[in-house]
Amino acid sequence: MTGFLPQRYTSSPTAVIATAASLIANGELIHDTSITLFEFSVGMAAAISVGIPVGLAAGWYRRFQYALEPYLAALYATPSLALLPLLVLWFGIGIRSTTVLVIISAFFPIVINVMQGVKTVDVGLLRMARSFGAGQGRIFREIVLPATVPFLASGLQLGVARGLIGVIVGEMYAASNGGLGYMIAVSGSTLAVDQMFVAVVIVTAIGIILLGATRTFERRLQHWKPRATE
Amino acid sequence: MSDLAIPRPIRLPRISERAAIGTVSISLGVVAWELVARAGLVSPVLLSSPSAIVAAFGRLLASGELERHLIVSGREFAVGLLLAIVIGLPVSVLAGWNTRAGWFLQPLVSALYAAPTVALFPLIIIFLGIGFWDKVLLVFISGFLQIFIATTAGIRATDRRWVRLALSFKASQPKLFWSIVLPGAVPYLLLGLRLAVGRCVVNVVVAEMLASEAGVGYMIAFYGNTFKVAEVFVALISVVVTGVVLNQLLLMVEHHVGRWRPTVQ
Repeated sequence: MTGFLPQRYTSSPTAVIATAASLIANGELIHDTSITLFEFSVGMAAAISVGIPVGLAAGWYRRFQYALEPYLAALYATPSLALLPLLVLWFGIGIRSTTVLVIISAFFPIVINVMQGVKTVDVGLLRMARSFGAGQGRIFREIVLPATVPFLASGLQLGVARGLIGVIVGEMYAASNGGLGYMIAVSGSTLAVDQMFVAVVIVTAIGIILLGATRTFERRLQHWKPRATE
Repeated sequence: MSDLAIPRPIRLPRISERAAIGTVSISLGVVAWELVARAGLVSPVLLSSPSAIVAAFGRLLASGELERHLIVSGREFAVGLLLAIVIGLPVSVLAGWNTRAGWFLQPLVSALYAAPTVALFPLIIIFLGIGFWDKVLLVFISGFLQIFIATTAGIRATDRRWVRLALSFKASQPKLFWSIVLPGAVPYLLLGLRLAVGRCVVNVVVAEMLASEAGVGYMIAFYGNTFKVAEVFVALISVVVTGVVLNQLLLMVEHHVGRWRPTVQ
């Protein structure tokens, strides 16, 4: 490509690799990647640990579900990225607002999928458990919970994808101390195209690895599921 | 007593209970929000209140500001999506139909699809500058990827039995394509279009938030930066309503087309 377009607009694979090497050498890349991963994992951990109980409760108690539904529908339809200016107002620029954005992005897919999972428990199994005198707690632990796990896995998959977009856009919009999204925005506005490509490639790689991991997790869980023979 | 009981035969009262609890819940939420704002528990600058949002909505509508920004965003969205459909459909049909073209394009599309499309926006700005076409290109890319993935999947999912049937009756390749493969792919195509619309709405807004001089996303960012939370909510709500309306319209089209589909047993 050299010569057709000014080098500062386009970059080239060799230039990107050279820039990547120097960014690794001076520690910048490790620094930004670790900030992004930190925000992402804290946000995901919070979304999972709140999302699962809320989803289970909403699936189990019908009235709670009815009360929650309008909020879930409204917030699920809201593009979470558009909440960024509000989050910046409420939580300030930096790690906190980005982490909250990850939580919001990942929370709703998890809640909705877990709720769906509880609601689609095989009625035959429930009826059988009742007839054998199983208590509510027992039914919940031994029938409802295992049946929800595959739904949880697909919720996680969606949540991870959305959370990753959330962390990158959050950093692009408002970050003060680094992160891959911050790197993308800064290098874009300073015409450091090589550096931007390095960041985009790392983000893509993280996305592929994380989605691959959740998919493997999902497949393993489905493996376990007993098949009912007709 | 759990509510996860064996389904009762009568369904009607339950639906009304659902609507009733939902309505009560949402109105309690709105009232609580208003009261918290009125009582000054949280600074009204940060939280705003339902009445302030309604007032802001009236103001922005009367001054024509909301309409102006909606039209700007709508144009970027419509042009980008239209280009994604006009270019994306033939390309993805080709990639689904011609195996080699599919193998050629698939890795490229998968790589782009795995990256958040917005991450490419700074690069797009370097190329096209801040204005109209940079948003159009971003919308185009995100719409194209979604349409490509759904359409190629739809074409590859053609029922082998139909193809074998057509081939035994000596159907030509074009005939096979127009009468069996393409109609079979229509539901996938519509699903892809619906997902594309959702993504494109988000991308227009985010792109405008990051760099623009007009549009709903600009409104959200501008009023956020100037601490006018009620106006932010007005812009947010208009985005959500637009997204939901478009989604419902396309769902209706999907159901309508779905009814026509013959089933193979």
